[in-house]
Amino acid sequence: SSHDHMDVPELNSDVNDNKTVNAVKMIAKSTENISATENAETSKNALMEKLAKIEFFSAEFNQQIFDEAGNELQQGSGLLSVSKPNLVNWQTIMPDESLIVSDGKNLWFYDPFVEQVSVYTLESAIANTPILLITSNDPKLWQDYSVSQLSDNRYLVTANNDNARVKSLELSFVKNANNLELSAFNILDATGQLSVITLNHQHKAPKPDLFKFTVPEGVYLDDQR
Amino acid sequence: CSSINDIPVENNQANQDINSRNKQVSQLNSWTIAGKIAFINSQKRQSATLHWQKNAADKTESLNLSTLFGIKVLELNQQQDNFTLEVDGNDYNTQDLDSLIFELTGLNLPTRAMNHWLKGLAFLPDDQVVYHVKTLLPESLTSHYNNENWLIKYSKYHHIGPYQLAKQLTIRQGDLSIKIVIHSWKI
Repeated sequence: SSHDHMDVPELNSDVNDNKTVNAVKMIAKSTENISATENAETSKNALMEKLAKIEFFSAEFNQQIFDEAGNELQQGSGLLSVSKPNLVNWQTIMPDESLIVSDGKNLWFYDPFVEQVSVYTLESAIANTPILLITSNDPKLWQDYSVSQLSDNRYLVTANNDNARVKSLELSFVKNANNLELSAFNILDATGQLSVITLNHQHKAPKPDLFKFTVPEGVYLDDQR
Repeated sequence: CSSINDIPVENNQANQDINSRNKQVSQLNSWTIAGKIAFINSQKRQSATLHWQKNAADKTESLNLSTLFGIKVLELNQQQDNFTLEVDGNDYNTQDLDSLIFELTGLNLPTRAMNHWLKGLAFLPDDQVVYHVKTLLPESLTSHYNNENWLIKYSKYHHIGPYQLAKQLTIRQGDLSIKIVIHSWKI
């Protein structure tokens, strides 16, 4: 299509195993039995501290979407680059292309399948693009979410607003040669549908123009701001 | 039932005559489609991931539309003769699916007819199918379903097990165009 392609390294799409299906059961269970006495404030601060350590990264992602019974609905892969503040480039390559770019002010969603770019303000986009939470340390964006710590490297971020379409986001970290990496994040929607995204880090800084977006020739602009 | 083989059909020779293929695919009533669907009209363009599973044996069917991040947009479930439709977390029971889907989502999605149209089969007795001169596979289908004019176009035929099935369809009705790309047929 019209925007240029990075030469994409061979993406390994590993076969799903029931580890991921257990993730469905585990999250449902862990969401229930989080004791109210858990001090959400310290967990939120602990998470914010971890996120603050992550200046930027670029990684190959593998994504699997499961319905509430654990059946796999869809599988996909692509590249995710992130930088602060609020800079995201999410490029789905398989099974087909789409591109999400947050330039820090607006969120651009390019869907070649319908030859359209939709653009949203960051605040309004966050409800449907939970990845934005990871790149922001803006307390205003975080106030709608509470955090609980599942283990020393796993955090559950839950939407306070009951009818939020994204119910919770589980972030997993891993220590890699004494720097901290986000290794996976799972998105649980309000109906129990789960998107499991695992990251395979490429240890190079993302190029700044990844976080700029221009509407490709001949594509319809759907301005939602 | 996993996708056995999935190789493109060559477009210069016929592998089946029309009647034997129609007979064959009309008996294919348990399948799973994973792909993408788009609804394009003059005011709006929307797309979603599509997962559609039909199981004739236990008379169940489920159709799921979700966003890129796996957030459910719509889910239709059939148990025996009862359909439930879930949109924005609310459940609805209905016998008249098409009008309920339209009422709730504004989407014109004739799922009963599409069950046949997907395989290049007529749904109504007077649906007309045009077959490709060389491959003898359905190239287009016209229908007066719901007293509207529907035009379906088929492309990207693949051998899926013993069947020849299209992996891309467009369904046109008035200024609406529904585009479906099938990443995998599982039979």
